[in-house]
Amino acid sequence: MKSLPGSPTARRRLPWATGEFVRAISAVSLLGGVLLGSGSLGDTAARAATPVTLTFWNGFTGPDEAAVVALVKQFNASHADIQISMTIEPWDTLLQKLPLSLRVGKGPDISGLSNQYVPQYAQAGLIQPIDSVYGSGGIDQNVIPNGVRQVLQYGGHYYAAPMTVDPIMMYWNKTLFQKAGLSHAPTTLSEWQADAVKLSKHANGVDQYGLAVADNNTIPNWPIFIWDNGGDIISANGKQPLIGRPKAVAAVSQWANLMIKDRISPPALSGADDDKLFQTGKAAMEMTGPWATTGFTQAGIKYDVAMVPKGPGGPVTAGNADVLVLSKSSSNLAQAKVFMTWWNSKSAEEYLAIHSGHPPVRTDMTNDPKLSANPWVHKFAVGTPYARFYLGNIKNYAQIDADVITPALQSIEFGKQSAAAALSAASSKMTKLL
Amino acid sequence: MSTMIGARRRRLSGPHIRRILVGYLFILPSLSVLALFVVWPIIQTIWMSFNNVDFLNQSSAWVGADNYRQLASDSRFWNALRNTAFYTLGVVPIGLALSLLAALALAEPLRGRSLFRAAFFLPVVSSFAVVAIVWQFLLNQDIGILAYWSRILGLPSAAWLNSTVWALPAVIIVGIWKGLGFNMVILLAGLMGISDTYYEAASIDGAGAFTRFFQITLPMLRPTALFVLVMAIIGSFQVFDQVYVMTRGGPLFSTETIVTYMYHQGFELYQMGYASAIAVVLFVILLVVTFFQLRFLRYNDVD
Repeated sequence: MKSLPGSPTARRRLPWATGEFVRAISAVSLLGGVLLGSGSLGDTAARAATPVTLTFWNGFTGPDEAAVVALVKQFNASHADIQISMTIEPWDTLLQKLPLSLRVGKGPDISGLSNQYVPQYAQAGLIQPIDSVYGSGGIDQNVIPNGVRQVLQYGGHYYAAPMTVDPIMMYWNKTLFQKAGLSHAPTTLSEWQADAVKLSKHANGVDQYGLAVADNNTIPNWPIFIWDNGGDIISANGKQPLIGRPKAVAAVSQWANLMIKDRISPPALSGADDDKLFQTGKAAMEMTGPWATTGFTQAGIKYDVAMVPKGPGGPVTAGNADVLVLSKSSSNLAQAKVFMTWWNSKSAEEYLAIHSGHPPVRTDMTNDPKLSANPWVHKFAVGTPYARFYLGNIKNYAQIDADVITPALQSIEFGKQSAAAALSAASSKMTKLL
Repeated sequence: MSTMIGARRRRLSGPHIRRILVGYLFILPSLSVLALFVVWPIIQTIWMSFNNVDFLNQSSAWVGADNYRQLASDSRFWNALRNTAFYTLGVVPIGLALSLLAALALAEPLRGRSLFRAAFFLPVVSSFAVVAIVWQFLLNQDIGILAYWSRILGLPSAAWLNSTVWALPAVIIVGIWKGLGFNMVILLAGLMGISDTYYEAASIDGAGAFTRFFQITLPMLRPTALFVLVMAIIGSFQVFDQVYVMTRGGPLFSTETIVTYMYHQGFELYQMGYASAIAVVLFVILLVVTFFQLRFLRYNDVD
């Protein structure tokens, strides 16, 4: 070893300070650098593929929660670049905090909620238009039923994509029908009303209701009566109330009379009470969606579902849609498009239908043989093309329903006002709110 | 006079000021929490009541007394006020009478007294929402157990929560049931505070049970009873939980109370200004009612 000036002791302690050693180290470093360099190219690629996470809130806490959770897992597994982080909470809590959190930008990217909130949220600037989701590579508008397509839009733009769309069907209790000597569910309006009366028994401490009708905190019941008779609640452009017109008044009046005179249903039922009556075998018929099948089956009721019996305005039923919307402050429109399109793909809708009973939204899946795996799917899918949306596209949905229409209906059900008087008053109140 | 001034000057001396400051420093944490979470929101509410505040659109515009003018002609508000008054008239007298009876009974050395006291107090510590759901099932005219027993016993059964006549009484019954234990416990404490010597002296003088109750128990219980009365009235004016869960104010607004209407306006229709006006009116009503209660029932007069 050459002795160097300075501190020879120190140098002797560092044999690797020799020239050869330094050259060796440099060679190794250079080689290492080249290898790492090519590795870092891979790193860049990996960095570009760091998944974008979208937060997703919804209220599917019922029997269909498992299917929704499984679907999101499927999406995450098949999309390395987009990950959905989902939070499920009861609707009450979710809808209380959603508007405010969306407003301050702390809300989720995607929300799943009832279509009735779309106009309100769009107008308040809480959600952004998603027209591009229906562009090329996205959702095909032509496979979405007309009625559904209308409630996905506001002010000429698309604001929502379908999540689940359920038609309301008529559940009927086979045991009670047999006991009354009726062999099949009614198919016409007059049959329906006659059967309801026949199936209502109130004597000797026995209370049985022919058709349990809910008017608050429920999916639409009375609107189905009105539509079935050829009447309507509001004009197509949403500006004119039609609930005070003769056909609507006649429908409400007929059914209210049956409730008061023949006691086919208790008055002022909530949706939950309605379901309870059918579940305990106290009501022979009820109108609700596919989500009730699990509870009724578990309760041991022998039942089936049928299309709402056809009146002058039929065949018609109400639709209940939960939709996907994108927060205004979210910058992940491209990723949301992928998710929303995937959710509305044939495979995803097939899975959802089989595992939750929600019929598929797409019109090109009605004859899909795989759907027979869940017997209820086809039965409900029958109603989807006829589903209409109560107060769809109306911004003041909540106020009109809770403060004007429901009180008017209840006042008629309790015999406090005639249908004509109550509905005409409701009509004038609605004009101010439209 | 000069001595008083002298006294005042002495009061503002160094150590005394320091003691005052230290006192304030000690209560500063609680005071700031109170100021932030009670006083500031009250001031904000009063301010909002003079504005048209839309919660959803986060917009606000000064409208002066317009909200109050609208309230005066709002039939739904007057209906809510009427229902709240009926509710109070139902819950307070009956509830307090029952609580007093329970307290008197449980002041005696009975067997299983602690068990009874616990049983009465259990509803108080239960969540109002859970209690309301259970009562909803109990009172259901078709599948409820009350209807079932009435049918077996041949008693008439009301439609309870589906009747415009019986829904409010149902809500009142649940209110009485829920608050009984709380009032009972406070009255019990008041009863315990009455010295036995009074009763002994009265028995020696030949006073019967009724006389003892009206001449000794009631007068000595007055401060406690007054406290319970004031709290019960304030509480029943603010009824919300059981109404929201059991009936949502229905059917046909027969159970809608001031606070449920306020909730509907503020959190369902997002009209915070109008809801604040309702809150301020409720505040003023309670202020007036409490003032007259304390005045006429002579709170400070304990003989």
